Amino acid sequence: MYSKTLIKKDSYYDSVTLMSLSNKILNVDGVEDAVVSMGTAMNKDLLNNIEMATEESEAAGENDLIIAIKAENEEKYETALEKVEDLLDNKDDKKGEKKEVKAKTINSALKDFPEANFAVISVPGQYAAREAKIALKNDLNVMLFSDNVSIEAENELKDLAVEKGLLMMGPDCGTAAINSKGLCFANKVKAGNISLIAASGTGLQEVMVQIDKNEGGVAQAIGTGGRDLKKEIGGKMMIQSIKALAADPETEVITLISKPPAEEVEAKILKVAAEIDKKFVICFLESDRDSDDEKIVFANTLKDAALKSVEAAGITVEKKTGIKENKELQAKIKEEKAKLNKKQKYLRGLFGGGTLCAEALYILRDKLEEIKSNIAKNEQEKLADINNYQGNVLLDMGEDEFTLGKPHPMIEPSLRNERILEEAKDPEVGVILLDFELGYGSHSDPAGASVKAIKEAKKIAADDNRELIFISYICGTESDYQNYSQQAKKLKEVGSILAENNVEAAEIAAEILAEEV
Amino acid sequence: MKKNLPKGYNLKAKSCDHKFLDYVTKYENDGLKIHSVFNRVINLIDANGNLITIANNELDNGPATLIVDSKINFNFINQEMEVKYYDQKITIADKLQISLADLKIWTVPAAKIDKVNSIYFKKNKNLFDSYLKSKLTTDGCGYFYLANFHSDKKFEQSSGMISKELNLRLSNLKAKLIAGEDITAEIKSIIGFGIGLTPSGDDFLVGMLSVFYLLKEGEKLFLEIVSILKKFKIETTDISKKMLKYSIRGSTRENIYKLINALTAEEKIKEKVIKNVLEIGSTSGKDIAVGIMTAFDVIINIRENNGG
Repeated sequence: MYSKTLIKKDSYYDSVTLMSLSNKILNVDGVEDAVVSMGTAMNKDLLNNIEMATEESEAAGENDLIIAIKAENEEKYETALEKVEDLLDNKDDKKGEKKEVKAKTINSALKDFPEANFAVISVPGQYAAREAKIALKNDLNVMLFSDNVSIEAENELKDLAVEKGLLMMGPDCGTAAINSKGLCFANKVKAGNISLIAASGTGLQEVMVQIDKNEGGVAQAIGTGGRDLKKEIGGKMMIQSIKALAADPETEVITLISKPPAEEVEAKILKVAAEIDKKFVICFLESDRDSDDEKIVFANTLKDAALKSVEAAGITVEKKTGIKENKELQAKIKEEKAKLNKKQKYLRGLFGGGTLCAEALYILRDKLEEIKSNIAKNEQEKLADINNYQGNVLLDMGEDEFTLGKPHPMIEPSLRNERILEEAKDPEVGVILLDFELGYGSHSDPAGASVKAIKEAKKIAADDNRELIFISYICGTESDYQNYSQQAKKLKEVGSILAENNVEAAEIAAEILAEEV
Repeated sequence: MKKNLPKGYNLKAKSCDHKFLDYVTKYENDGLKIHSVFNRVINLIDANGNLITIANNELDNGPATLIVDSKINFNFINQEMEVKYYDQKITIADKLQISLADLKIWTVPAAKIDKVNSIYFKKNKNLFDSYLKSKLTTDGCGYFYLANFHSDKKFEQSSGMISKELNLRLSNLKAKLIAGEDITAEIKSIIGFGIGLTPSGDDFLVGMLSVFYLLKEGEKLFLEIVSILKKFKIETTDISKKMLKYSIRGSTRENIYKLINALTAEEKIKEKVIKNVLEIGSTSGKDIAVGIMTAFDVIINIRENNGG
């Protein structure tokens, strides 16, 4: 008979899970007995009485979980133990269905893949810093998708990365493309000589997509995590990434994208950029910066950042007219505007991309009256209640307040579809603005998954003798696996106006809703 | 996944007891850490190992517990986050802020139940019993209940080792309580015994102590158990320790009080009152309910033995 115990320190599983675990272990062939309980004195006593106690179980604390298994032999014990790990980790326990070997730790992954130089980490926040540290200590560059990592831990990890000459992307880094390989949420774009460093996810995606649309190409796209340019972190990873790209022979233009950094951080970054013999395009969103410097060019929107990057890369950008000069678009705007009744004077922007929502707010602030958003920094623009509002409203539906316990709308649009129908019931709404993100990580058919809701919304309005106008922007390329053209076709078929970029989508909305003078 | 830095939630506290306020104000600014997080509950711990609880409004009031005015799921909080209390606000990192400005103070009901209408009580006890029987499985104290109250031993083979052992220990405790014998060893044997974050033996004891505390007829038994518990170190999980610590002071959760009061009231017990207790934790409520039922049974047996 073989008896052993497994101890899980400070583990809090509810009793239903533990009872189910206990029953499932007992059903494993060759297992004679199993006890799954907290390490209290009385429970340890019981293990002693039934001769299942071990040195480990005796040493377990009151808040530790003890899993004691008595089996016919070691092999049966190991089978049961595997079952335990699978059940506690919520993994698929159907034998033979696993298609790839999954390493349980970074160290065991390194044993299987000693040549690895990159780790993507997505574990609950409390474990994320520890895993990232292990990866960095093993000379791996890190992309840390997890959030809920303290600023102190972020600083420590970034110091270690700088010391070792490694990238430490994140925490909360959702988008990157290294050597044209997209990681987490990324679009498939042409390879080229522009490299991007960004503190925001969809901001980085939008610039990559717009570069691709304007015949430019991307060498590297590096995410730093949203807090990197804060005073507390001091832009450590943006500076480290600039230095890495300075040495990258493929990179000729370096484009930086972020919200405005802390003053001293901005000065540091500009100093580093000035010392490097490559062209820079800097987009500190909403900062309204300008410069005549040929080496460092400033852009104020994501679209401008992309166009200026392409120009800096030596590619002639086809001069496009603004929406005011676009006769075809103006005719469409006029036609749509005529469909609205006098009461329909408000916009509702329902975004999956946080930075796209922030950029739309920047564009629309001066064009529409009293616009509010759940992500506004300015108190006057801050939306008090995401479920009860009037007027012009932009919602980032990827925020926690919407996604708690529900999938992010970029992954599964049903959350946003429900809101589309709600907005359609408001007789004061004239225009609904939507974004659709394509690429790795996103829903396989975001437009297709939303057309039913758009049709139903239009019907709700029609039943009330109104018409509802939809404006969509698809942040994606023809090479994305969802395919831009196919997605665009689906949205056009339900009568949505399609914008070329996020800025244009916001501008069209403003034109339609502008009061006649 | 977050695409921007979260803004954090601003919530209002709905209610709490004096104990909770005492602890947070004592540790103004810092001194509290996150002990554990569940979907509906955040447990905070101080340097002395005292636990206090923040719960969403799906849960009831209880000792050292604050209820927020929201159904929020706390799964975005983790143990590493910093907890602060200042200016009548509890903040957890930049994720959660709870204003304590307009809360109601919940006080533990002090009134004892000294008269029980036997006709209503019998009916209510039968309703409670049939509801409990329909909901219990052989896990935790369930096997003891089915075997002891319904002589239903058909589950003996399928019951786990802990359930069977718990049946023996609880049966001994019940028998000795009725016989008026020393119960020190029996009480010790159930503390920290059983499955779950709050082992079944602890939950059972909480239910039993609550009845003994509230009923005048149970006063002597309450004091006897409390004196035993005070003699030795309670070795169980942190969350159970908190529960027991307050139970021996006569303080327990609002829904447990409501159930005991409803059982002894002169009107038909509402199913919802029973259900609210059974839904405590994942299985704790069922073990607490068995403790309540056993306590009433003990009192009835003692009364009958004394010719009452």
